[in-house]
Amino acid sequence: MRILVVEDEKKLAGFIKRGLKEEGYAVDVAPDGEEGYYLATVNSNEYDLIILDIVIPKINGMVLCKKLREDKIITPILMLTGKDTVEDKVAGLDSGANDYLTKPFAFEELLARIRAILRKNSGKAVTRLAVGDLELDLLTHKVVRAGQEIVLTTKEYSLLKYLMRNAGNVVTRTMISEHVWDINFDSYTNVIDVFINYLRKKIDGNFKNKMIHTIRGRGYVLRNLKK
Amino acid sequence: MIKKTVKRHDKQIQRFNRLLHELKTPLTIMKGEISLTLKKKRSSRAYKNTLKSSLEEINRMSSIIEDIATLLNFRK
Repeated sequence: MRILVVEDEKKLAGFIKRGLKEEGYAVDVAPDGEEGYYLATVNSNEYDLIILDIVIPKINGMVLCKKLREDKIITPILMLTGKDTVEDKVAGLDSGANDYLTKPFAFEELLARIRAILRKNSGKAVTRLAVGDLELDLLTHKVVRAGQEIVLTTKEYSLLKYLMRNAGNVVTRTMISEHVWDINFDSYTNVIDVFINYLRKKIDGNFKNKMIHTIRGRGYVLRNLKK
Repeated sequence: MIKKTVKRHDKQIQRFNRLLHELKTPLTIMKGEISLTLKKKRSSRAYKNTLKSSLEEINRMSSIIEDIATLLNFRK
């Protein structure tokens, strides 16, 4: 899951990025409305969520939100602001935002709202992903295969979550880099293949029924071949 | 004359509201950084950085509060 944070206050953007990264999200930060607009539109709908402050330089968050919706960017937007009157909240939501959080907020609430938005966006209210005997709990980050718990690093967890959300479909290296890594990712390295190998060892290592498959020249697919 | 006074009064209220609003940024930073730091066990450097950052934000809040006090005294 890749998130764009449009926030000019460096320290605020900094702790949001750190905290979200710890939760396994890939995070990019734009310091003003113009860069936010550029990043949100350059590869349209590449982000899974945009966290948008209202008071930011160059293009105001409310205007930016309307602009993105006019440009058919359907990425969910969570507005972050110090303005807490009913009128402000209505204006924010009416400009096209999906949710609205007022400062100062509790970090746990931000995380819960992000999970709620991503759940809604995936069409079903899931807190658990399952493919065959492989299960992933989105709330506790616990991964279990055939009743056996598998301990993953944050990056491995993010990668597995992305593969499981797209189970049965081929995901390319570009798709993986865009959703699991942030913008500073160097796509010329073989980091993705290395992490796929780590995951393979942990997920498939002790099992006959292999789930992670390489599709030569295209990418990877996670599928359960055993019926 | 009355119009002018009302206008000046409105401007002062606007300034006052803006300053109150400005207090929310350091509060948000402190609340966020501290709760994130407490979420799990960290290195002593991480705790030190959070304390240092909080001190900066407390200083920022002090100067905003001073501005508010100046504004209120000016109105007397």
